[in-house]
Amino acid sequence: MRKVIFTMLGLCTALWAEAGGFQVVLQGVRQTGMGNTGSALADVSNAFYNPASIGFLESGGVAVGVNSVFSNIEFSPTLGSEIYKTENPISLPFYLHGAYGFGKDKAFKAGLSVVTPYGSTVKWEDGWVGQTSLEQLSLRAIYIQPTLAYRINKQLSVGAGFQYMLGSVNLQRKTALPVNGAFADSELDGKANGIGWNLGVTFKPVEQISIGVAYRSEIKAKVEDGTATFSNIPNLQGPAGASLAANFPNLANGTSTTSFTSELPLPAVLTFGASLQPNENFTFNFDARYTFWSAYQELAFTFKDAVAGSTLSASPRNYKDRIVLGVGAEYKIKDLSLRAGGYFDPTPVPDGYMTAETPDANTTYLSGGLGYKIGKLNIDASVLYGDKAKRTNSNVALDNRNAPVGPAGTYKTRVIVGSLGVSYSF
Amino acid sequence: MKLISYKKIAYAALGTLALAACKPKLEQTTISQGKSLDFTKYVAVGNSLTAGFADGGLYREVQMKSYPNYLAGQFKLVGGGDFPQPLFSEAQKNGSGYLQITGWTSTGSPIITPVTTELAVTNTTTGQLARHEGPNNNLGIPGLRMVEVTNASVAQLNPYFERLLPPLTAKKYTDFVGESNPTFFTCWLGNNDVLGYATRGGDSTGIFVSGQYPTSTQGIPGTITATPLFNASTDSLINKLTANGAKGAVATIPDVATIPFVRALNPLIAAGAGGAFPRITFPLSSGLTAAQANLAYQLAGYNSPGFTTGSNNYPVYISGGLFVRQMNPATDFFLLSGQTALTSTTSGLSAGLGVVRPNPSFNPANPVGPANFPVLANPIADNIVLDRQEIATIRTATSAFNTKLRSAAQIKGLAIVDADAIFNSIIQNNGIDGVSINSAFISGGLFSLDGVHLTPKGYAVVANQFIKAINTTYIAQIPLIDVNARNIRGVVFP
Repeated sequence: MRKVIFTMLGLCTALWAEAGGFQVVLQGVRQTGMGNTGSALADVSNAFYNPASIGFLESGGVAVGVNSVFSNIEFSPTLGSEIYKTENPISLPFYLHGAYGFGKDKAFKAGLSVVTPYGSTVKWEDGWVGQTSLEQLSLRAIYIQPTLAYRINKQLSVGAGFQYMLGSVNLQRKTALPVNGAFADSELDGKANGIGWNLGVTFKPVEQISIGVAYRSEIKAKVEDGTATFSNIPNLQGPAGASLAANFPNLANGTSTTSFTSELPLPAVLTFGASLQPNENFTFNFDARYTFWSAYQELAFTFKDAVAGSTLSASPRNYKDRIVLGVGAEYKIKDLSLRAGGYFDPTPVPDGYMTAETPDANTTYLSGGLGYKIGKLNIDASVLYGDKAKRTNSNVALDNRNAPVGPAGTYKTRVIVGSLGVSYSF
Repeated sequence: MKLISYKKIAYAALGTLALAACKPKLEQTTISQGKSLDFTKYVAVGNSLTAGFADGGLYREVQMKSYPNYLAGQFKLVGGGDFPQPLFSEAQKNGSGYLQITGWTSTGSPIITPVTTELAVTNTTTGQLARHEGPNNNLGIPGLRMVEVTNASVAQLNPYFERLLPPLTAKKYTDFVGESNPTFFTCWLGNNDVLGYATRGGDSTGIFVSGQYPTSTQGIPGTITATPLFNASTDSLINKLTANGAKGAVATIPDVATIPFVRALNPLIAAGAGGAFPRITFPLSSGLTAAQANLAYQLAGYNSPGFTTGSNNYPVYISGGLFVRQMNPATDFFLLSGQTALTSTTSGLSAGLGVVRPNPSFNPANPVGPANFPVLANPIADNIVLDRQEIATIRTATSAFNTKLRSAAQIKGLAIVDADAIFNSIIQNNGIDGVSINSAFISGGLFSLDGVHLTPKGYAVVANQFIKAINTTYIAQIPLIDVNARNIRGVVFP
């Protein structure tokens, strides 16, 4: 029977976590409703996690949707007792997936996914104690993935995809100057791009069971010609002024600019999914995602002209590989689907490496979702709630200029994602 | 089946409720003022260091960055009350006037000139300052000595004290402090009981009274206070402060040799002479022998400085009265107040200061008697050198004063702030508690342009040391000031 495919867009948020924002993974709205599980299911919006998944589609389909991400971080410094908060604007990642089967029940399926990850802005309140680490970080990105899947037989499907990533990053923070208690403003702005691939296989030993394994390669997001701007640099006389000016290249009228390059490794992911559908009404999923976070050892910017004596600004990150485990379920009553799930996302960030843009901690996610089918059209909604454990950044690691990678203190983060999507299968 | 679907609906409902609960809630870090501390009314007692004096003056900006004001900010986090200070008005924000760097010479030396506008000085002869009216918890009086705390006439003689009282009021400082009725206090007093002697270079000119120099039992300004008097005054003050059960912290007196006013000039002189302190080699280029130079001094009534042929230790200074000595830069210090005189190209070290100068009335064609000697003794003045004996005298007194301050604090269960240890730690480590700061004059960030008082950054660092001592003594968890995050300033550069 024709499966009702409800999907919404919301993949690959994990890809951006290390560069800022949260480790929120958003698959299709159906999957998000089931605790981001179900990657073994034949579903258009699973293409990003397992390109083989579209191989078992009957024909083809289109899915489009939007997520609204509300996130808040609170921070209390070790030295002091004030509480500082972020004022993050709501982020609205949207997605579009399409898969085409060249006719009914054909073995080949081709698909195209256009995905903007939740691409967030982390904005701390003005004048917060960590303003020399970060004031604001904005990330935008779009992934384009053409996918090809081949259903070998009733039990096995394989698939492959190619990913092209385009993005931009804007980081703003204050720089404490060693004279007169003054602060200059720093802004790093750049466009990034990168390419990657994924491979997957889906195996159905019996009709009720689907097992999917997929590997997505690391993408090196390269920023090739970013602009670094330092402004509000006071113009001082004499040796004090000369000493200050020597730190900033191309200084004119209190503003210094130079270009920079950087490379952010977006780690490889190995996904394992298993789904059990004992009858038409029930689906149970178990998903595990192993992310090769250890690719992210440091965040480095290379300036064209020396800033404060060096062209290199390298901040250690030292992330560890981690596995995410989730379970989810769906129950159908006629045209209505009810979903729930949860997953545990242990943090790749070791002690002392929490940063103001990614003050990560072990996170527990819970979700619920609803779906409604009208003929070939499906409308889905879900809510995902993520709670990061309160975590303290102490014995903070230092960068190559002996500045701490992030402020020392205790962080607490919560995130809520509301998602709405529509899909149509043909 | 039904049970399961109810559960699913419940999950969905939970998700909706969670939307409303997205804001994370971080409890405030555990801080407390300690069981026995009450910061309702914190009063600061002391001298110029307590008032926020910097750059040779007291002015509005540095008053707001005094260490008691920094402390009060942290006390407020644990429920402390307001901390009003006797701030100069905006129109008279430059207060008593102060020094600032206005430019740089071609060789990179700072040009330091006084600020003379928007002052709060109402009488330039007496130095009277605009009166402060209204509440005030910062009782730091620049210039105040421990020996003066029971002397009611000081209130009218010290303009910083005078402005805090109604006109023509005579009041003992101890009574003034007692009336403020603190629930908590800090006390940093006693520096001036040796500092006056130190900044005069141990020169008694104009203040000499037989038997009252260097130590005085009469509280003569410019002398060192006699220890019994210091002790009695300390007791009066501490007893008054603790009369109603107030707790507090007492700071000790730092070693005089830690301040740039004493330390900074010797290295500058050495640097100006090519890296090593200037030595004197006899015979001089004029042909004058060591014996002749010694004779010149004796003819002027001094003892022989002991010059010998060959290289000699350094210039000669007046140690006291008619006694001269060759200087040893390891133990004898040029004071910052002597910088102009010593570096003058016409009459400074390079022009014979510290050795001999030509006798203007010498007549080589007709030498007559000992008065007609080719050169005159040219010793460095007493008041710009603090020599080993004077330093020893100061250290003996400082040690005695600190012994008294510590024991008075211990008896009352007060916290003790070891100012000596703080400054020495900064000098040795170029920093303290993760803050980069050192005692170099102007560039170090600790001391201000007068070479004696601190900068706002220095006062914030001192405030943190007070907090650490209070936390240890009273088992409290008052948070420290993040000096780095606030990027608190050192000396202002133009």
